[in-house]
Amino acid sequence: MEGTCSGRYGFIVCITHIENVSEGIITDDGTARAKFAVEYDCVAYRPFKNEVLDAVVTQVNKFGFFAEAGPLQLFVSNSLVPDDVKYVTDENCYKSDDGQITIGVDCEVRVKIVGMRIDANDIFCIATIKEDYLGLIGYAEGDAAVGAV
Amino acid sequence: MSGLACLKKSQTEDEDAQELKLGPDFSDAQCLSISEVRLVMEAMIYDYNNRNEDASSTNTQVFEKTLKYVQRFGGNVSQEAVQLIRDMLTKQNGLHTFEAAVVSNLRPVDYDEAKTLVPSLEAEGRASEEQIQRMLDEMANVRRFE
Repeated sequence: MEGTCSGRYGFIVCITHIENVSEGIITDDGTARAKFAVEYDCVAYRPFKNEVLDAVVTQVNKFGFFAEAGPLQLFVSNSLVPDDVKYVTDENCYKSDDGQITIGVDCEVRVKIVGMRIDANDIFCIATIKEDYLGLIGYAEGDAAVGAV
Repeated sequence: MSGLACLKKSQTEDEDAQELKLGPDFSDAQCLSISEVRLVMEAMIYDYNNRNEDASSTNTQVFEKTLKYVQRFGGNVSQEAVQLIRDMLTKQNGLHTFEAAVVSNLRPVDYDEAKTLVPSLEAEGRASEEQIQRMLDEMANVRRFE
């Protein structure tokens, strides 16, 4: 179970406690295996729409950038990046007009989830940094706000 | 199959973190902050190492990626401080565990930032601006004296 991902519960990170294991039922598929229903507590990692979280940029291109928050993959399209922050081909990063913000691979960004694609065993999120207090972390002095101006 | 797909879709459409709608499966789940998850995961690794058991359950890609993430963003906060922050946010200030987790993860510095990142804090009948500001200051203080 651990390490799996379902659309319903998200990523099962680790099982912390097993509550109850039912009596086994021998399967009738001729393999002599048995099935058990197990109740357990676990740490699940599940994103929600409109949730704000921190992520690490993994890949940048002219259409936007990909970021990762643990096992979760996120994509921020260039239309969801503030208007004054543009893609710079030579450096393969997003840069603000005043040069203060540079978003490249391995940068930490604060994003808000705007959409999710939920498959049976995968979750992929579309996120934005085009709102107040989102964007590159550690830009503003003493706190993590970018859009605070 | 299409019935199932419909069910799934309507389920996720009902979800909205802004309004604390986490769907039926998570409505009574406890939400943990990144620091709390870090403590749980490190305790698990410690247990496995001590018992010399087969550590297959900590050997998954999801576990490793999550561990890396919580170590990067969880900060170096002791168990006592994590407990203190949790009690302060949920018991003293009446935050939902989801709000408490997000506030503790994102560490807003003022009321304006807090209500922008966690809009449900602003809903009617919730804590006042002063109370939330005091709560944020207190949280920053606990972290500072770590």
